[in-house]
Amino acid sequence: MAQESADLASDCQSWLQKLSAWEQASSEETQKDTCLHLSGFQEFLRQMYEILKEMDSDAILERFPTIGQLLAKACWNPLILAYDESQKIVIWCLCCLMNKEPRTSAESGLNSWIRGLLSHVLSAFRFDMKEVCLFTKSLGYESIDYYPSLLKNMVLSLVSELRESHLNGLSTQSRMAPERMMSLSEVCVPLVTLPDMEPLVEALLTYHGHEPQEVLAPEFFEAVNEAFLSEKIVLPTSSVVSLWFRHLPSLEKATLHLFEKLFSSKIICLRRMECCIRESFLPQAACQPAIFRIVDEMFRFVLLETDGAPEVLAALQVFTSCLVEALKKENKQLTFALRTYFPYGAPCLAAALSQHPEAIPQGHRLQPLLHISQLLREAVEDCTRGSPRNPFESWFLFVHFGGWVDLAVAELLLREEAEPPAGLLWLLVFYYSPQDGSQQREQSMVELKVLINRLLMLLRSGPLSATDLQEAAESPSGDPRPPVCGQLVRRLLLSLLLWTPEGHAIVWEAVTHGPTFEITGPGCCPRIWRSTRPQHRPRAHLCCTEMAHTDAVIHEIIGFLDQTLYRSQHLCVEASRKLARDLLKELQAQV
Amino acid sequence: MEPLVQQTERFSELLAVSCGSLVSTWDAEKVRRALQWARYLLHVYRRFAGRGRVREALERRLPARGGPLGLRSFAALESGDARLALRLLRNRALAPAAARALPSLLFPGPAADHRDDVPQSRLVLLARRGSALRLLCRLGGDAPRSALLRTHAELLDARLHELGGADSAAARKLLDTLWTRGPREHVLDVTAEALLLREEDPEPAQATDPAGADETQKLLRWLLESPEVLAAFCRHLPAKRLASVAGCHHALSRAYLDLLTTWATRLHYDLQKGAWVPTQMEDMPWEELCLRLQSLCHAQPFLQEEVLVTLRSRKALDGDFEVPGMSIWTDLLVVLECGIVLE
Repeated sequence: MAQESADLASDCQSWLQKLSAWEQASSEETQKDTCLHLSGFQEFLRQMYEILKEMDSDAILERFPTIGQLLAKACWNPLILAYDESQKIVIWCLCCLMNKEPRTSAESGLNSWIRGLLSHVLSAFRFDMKEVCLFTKSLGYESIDYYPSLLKNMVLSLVSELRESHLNGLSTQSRMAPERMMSLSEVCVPLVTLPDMEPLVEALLTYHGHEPQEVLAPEFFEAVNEAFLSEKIVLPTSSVVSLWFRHLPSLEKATLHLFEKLFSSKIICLRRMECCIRESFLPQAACQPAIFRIVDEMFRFVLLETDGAPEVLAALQVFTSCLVEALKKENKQLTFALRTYFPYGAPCLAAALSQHPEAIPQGHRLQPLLHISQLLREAVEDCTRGSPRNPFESWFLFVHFGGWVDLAVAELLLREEAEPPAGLLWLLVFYYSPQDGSQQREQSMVELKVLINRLLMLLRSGPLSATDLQEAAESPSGDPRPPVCGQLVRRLLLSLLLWTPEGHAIVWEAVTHGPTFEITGPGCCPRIWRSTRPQHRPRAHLCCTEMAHTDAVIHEIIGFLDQTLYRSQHLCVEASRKLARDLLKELQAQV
Repeated sequence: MEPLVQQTERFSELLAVSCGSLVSTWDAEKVRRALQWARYLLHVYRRFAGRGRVREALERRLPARGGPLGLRSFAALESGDARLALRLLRNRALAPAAARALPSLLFPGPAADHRDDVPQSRLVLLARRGSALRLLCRLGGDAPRSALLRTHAELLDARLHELGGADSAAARKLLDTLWTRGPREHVLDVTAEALLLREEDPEPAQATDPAGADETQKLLRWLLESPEVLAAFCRHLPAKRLASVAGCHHALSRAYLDLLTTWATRLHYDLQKGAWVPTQMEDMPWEELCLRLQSLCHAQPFLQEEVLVTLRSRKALDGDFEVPGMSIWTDLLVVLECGIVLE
């Protein structure tokens, strides 16, 4: 408390000097400088109030001798009084300064002075024309009667001026000059959270002039964006989209804001994720290709930084789903439009991926899967058409549409053919190990094929048990570094358990039977985009590693179950969904 | 009902007292109870705002008690506590103990942010709106003036509404007072704005509101029955503005046209200059007369027709001369017809 108080005393002196500087010069530069510091000053006021409210007047004046001057200067600065909650906190600080039991004329004078400041703050505006005041007085009105309607009418007048400017935009003489537009947007910076200002803020955001350069102040966009993201104001979709389209830093902040919301929770819940994404307005804004590119680029960056973290992949897929839905609402031709949004992928690949997997009837799903697999393989491995593209580009495009992987797993496990199609094997191996070279991938496909055949044989040979599954999933050779990614193995096992009647019988046993999903042991999943050296750990720490890994596996299973419930309505019957819900509830209780 | 009216009347008296020297006997407890009283009446307002009979009963009796410093309307109950707060803050006669307690009674702090029983939120919003107005007015341009006129027109309209539909004498008295106290040019501007209020209102339901029409009719009647005001109105307002108002009110357009023709008769033809000139200094010059008639023609088709019919009938009475300089009506018609052709 003492240290904090000392810091505030120093801050108090610093802010007093700045307020004095602002007071002496009322130029545009001063206004800009003030606006830049409004947020910081408000935070300072808030901290100051937290201290002052615990002190009496004498103690305050002793510890902060200049507090009175500082508050007085704040009271005479309309930018501060107009900004967010600053006027409220200034008032609270003044109330703290009141001497509850004045004993001297100086102390009584202080109280009188404070009341005068409060009165001034509450009557901060007066028209300069005295005759105008005479009119309202003759009618019997006070400022409290006409402030609201006067402000409303001021806003309406400015909006009308803007609209007339817009309508007359075709003429060489615009009604509102660019300089005035700039000034207007600058004045609005401290006012964006005032509800009365909403029509003007919206009009400015959606104003389309004919000047080659942006005529609104970047500080205005930043202020609106900050207020919108902190939910202090509500804006229609069109205004938000316009804001982000005209001021890309705001779009980046909005996207980061969404990421913080999505990834702050340890538990992945796709429904909740979907709600967050929809409420962010970003899918609607991303219907603009230029906006989509930026948001998508940020997703790409996060994927690379997190080495393809499951929650990021899930978020990307939900976002893409919301975007497709928003595009449909705009009546855009989806197939053609997606080429604009994914220019780095082959056009036919984007078109193929944009089909809804759930729209394809059962029994006809293999062909589009094989088609997608072929297109991806050509893009990644085929050297005859020039140098192969960076595998990440194709993989990044592919993972936008996660439903296809679900379909591929289902086709492999529920098929009736004797041999799993090579295209499906390739697709799954590529999804989970995209950085592998073609030779490594071929080997992984062989191993995957063997695994699937073993699982299916086991399925048809009589009652299942968790131990049987575990043994089938392990490599007979006992290779400590099996080529098939552990995540893929676990996904196959879980899908088998959830989607087949035989699996239903033992799913609880399998989930509670620890070794079942500890298929490949610690360090089984190499990082998607970084090579991982084998790590030899001291034997004494092995238990800790296994424990941590067990938690990671549980989280992975939870994610899979949640995804199943979110997306797999077309893949499994209600019994499977109920089972998934029960399992999910059980596992979430354990975490 | 009656107790409610009495409560309101007594608060109105209290409000009137809050500006004066009697507050020197108030203690903190009395201030607290006064604010509680205001809060109670705020709830009354919210409950009965939509009930016409109760509201009318209260509005009839409020102006009689408390005088000009008390509650002037039922709507004022909504801001009774804020109004009381402002008056007490400004009143140096308030007793010391009450004055010390007043700030914390008005602004308890963050815990009261969402409480409706203290005026903190409403007062803070008032402060913020005032500062916002100050910033926006710095921009200059037409917006401040335009907003002020519209606001004053709305206030005038509300006041006329409060006077009731039957009491035209009270409305006339109010308007005469405004005219007498001035500033007269501002009163005329506000009058014009008020006459345009409903025509500019985008909501069609209000356009057919009989209660709303009453205020406009009161204002219009006063204007038409006050020759001095009407003459100033028709002379002071810009031609285009006046044409807009006239286009919305037929009676006014006829009166305006009558005045224009009367002013036209005061011009005489100067043979040496070859132009129509005012007889006296204060008479309307020829150029302005032409401009106003042209504006009327452009405002509404029916106005154009009326102007032309009026001028042609006057021309006929003058003998239907076609030569310039013989009849002002002939020359005015030439100007208007040339303007039409050019347009």
